[in-house]
Amino acid sequence: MDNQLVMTGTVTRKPATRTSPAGIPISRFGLEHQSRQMEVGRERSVQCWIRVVAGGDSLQDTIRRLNQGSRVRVTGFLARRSHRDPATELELHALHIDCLD
Amino acid sequence: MSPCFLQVAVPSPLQRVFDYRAPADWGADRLQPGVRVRVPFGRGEQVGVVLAVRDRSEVPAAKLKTAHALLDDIPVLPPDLLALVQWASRYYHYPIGEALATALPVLLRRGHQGRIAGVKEWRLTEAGRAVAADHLKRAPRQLALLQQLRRHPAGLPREALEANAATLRALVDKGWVEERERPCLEAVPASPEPAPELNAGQAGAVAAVTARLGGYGAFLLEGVTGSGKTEVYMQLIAACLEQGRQALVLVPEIGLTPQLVARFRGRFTRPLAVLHSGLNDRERLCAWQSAAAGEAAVVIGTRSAVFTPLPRLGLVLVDEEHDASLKQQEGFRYSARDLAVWRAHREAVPVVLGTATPSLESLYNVAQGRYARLHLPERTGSARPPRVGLLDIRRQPMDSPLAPALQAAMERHLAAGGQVLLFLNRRGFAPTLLCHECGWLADCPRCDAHMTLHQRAARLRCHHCGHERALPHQCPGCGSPDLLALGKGTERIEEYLAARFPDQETIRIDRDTTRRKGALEARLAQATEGVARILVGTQMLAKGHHFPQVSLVAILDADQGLFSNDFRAAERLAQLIVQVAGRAGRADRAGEVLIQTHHPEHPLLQQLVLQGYGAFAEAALAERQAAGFPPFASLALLRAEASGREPALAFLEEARDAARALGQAGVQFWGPVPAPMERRAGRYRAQLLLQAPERGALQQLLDPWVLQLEQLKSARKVRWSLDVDPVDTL
Repeated sequence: MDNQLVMTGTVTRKPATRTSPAGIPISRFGLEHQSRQMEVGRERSVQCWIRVVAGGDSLQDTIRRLNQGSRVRVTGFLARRSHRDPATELELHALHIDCLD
Repeated sequence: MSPCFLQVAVPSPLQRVFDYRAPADWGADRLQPGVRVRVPFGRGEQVGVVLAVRDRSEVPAAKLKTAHALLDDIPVLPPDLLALVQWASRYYHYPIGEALATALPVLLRRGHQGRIAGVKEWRLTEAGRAVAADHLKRAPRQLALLQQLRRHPAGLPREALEANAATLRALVDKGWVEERERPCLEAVPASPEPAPELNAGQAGAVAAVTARLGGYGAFLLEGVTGSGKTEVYMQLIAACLEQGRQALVLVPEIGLTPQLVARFRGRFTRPLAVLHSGLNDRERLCAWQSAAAGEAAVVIGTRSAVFTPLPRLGLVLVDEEHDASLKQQEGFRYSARDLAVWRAHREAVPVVLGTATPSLESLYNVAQGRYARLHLPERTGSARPPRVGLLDIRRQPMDSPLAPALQAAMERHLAAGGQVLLFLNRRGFAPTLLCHECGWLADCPRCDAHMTLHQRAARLRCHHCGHERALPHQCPGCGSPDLLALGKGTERIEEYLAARFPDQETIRIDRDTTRRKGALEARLAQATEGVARILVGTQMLAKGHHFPQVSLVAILDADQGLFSNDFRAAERLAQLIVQVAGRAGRADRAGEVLIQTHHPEHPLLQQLVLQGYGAFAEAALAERQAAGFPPFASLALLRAEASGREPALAFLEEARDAARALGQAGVQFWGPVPAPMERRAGRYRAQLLLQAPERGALQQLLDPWVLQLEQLKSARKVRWSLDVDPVDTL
């Protein structure tokens, strides 16, 4: 089943990192996206915001360089935020992050 | 000589005694009740205790076996003690052979013969004391052992040594460590500590009990925390010793601290023996035989010490009489407090039950005129009762386990040079692990319970069955790595404190930090000396200790007991809160107590804080009376466990029907129902509660019923046990 999202945007707040009990770093930050896309044959503007989750040591070097305002491209998949929130509350789980600054 | 038959109690699950023929060459004068014999039993051999010597037996001669060996010249159990165990066996409906096996030290139970002279211990030799540490740079284990023994110049038993056999051998070969035998009883002080002046309440209590020495009398010594009950005990013991008699002191497991023992030892010029579960077999036998020989004038011990032979018993004291640990919760389920009263009555000596928070049973006995109440309403010296406040934590930020008001109070007390004690009755880092995404919780596969997260050990552990596993990297349910520690335990508080109060030394005292022999002693000493400014721990830390510098006590979660199903939960919680609070302000510092709760309006908490334990107890007694619960009724709980739910319930149903068929009036049956935690260690548990307004009616039913239970067909598929006067119904 497909589930892939590539999103470019601006980091809205410096990532917050916690460590899971098993020692895995889990970082979260907000990503604000603004672009122009084609729809119904015409160009339009798009604005959206999504929370990015970045788990594991391999992303930490990049995460540490991010600040509020950093521009990034995040590649990953969508999953629901938590079992207690409505299933429509989604987060972007990063597999790869490119720093664009 | 006419043939001689022995009625012998042999350890066996059967509710009966066994007859044996005594060999003709055993002198009849040596055959008395209370001597041990080795007898053939089943395909093997057992050590049993002779209960009676007869000239005939109802067992046909062809079926009678002959006893193999007589182990004692004089009874190992004197008549009074044998009577106590026999009575307890009948009252608690536990087989006499097993009951006697519980009462005897392990070595005697196994048939050990003769007296032992002392306890084997290891210590440094002269040469060992002189060794420089850099001598052992390349042998860190040997160095560790050397240093451990340096910290314990008096020596340590083998099992306390932090070393394997090779390490120990290496040091012995070097001539630095030696084994020696320490005598059973420690030397008494040449110049004992003088007894301090008593206040009016203490003096009154001492006088009231002393006047009754030489006869039975039961007293409830109700003294607020810090009122100097221990001093009353010591002066009563002194009066008892002056008459040339022995004193028995029972304390809960947690209350038997080296602090307390040292205080007793320092006072008396007669030897003292200590009995508790941390002793090895030789140490235990040592204490038992010096008590039996009358050499130990004072025996202080945990619940099984109630079975110590004391030929010149003159006084029985039970400290923290409300404590649930005085009731054994497995096997022979006796109440050491109740047996102490029975024993005192039989041996015609006074018994004093001491506590700051009397059990409702004992208060009821006072109201009925069975016990005399001795009251110590005031703290000793300049100490004043602590100020108690409730902290509403309903809208507290989630990131801190301590309310802002508590943090501020801690800063205030620490700045003023006080010590802070934080109490949380939950060890480990967090009660469980949660997957944020799918809601998975770390459940024990064998119990209806969550597994506790132990962060430093990186393990999940079940506190009910001991099952454990490594911390998962991913959620076993959905694979997410985003796992969260849910809730708080002492380990997490310790970690939080290190970040929040980095300049203050913190010490944690719970079962996890005190596993090694001597670890609890070392930590308590650090706490008492005030090296650590913040103490965090479970009830291990909270009960009975005297930390003179503690001025602030905080109960981090008072809600655990507020909504339990058990009828005694409220009583336990009230006692615990009062006991923990009592650690504050015991010397010249003013004490403050803060209780964190999500239910500040709860009547129990309101009553305790505003009116105190007495008002709580009065209200609780009225509730018990209305509900027909103890002390206004007697209970017995039949528990059963099996590999599935059905066999356990089926057995209990058959048991209930059998009981009904006995037609005993005045006994009600509740259940069977699954136990509140139905599955534990892979076994399904269920229970049947028997309730009777009259103790006698219940006992009359239990006598024939227990014999029937052994015969029930459904009993073969279950393990069952009967708990008379259960301390909880969980």
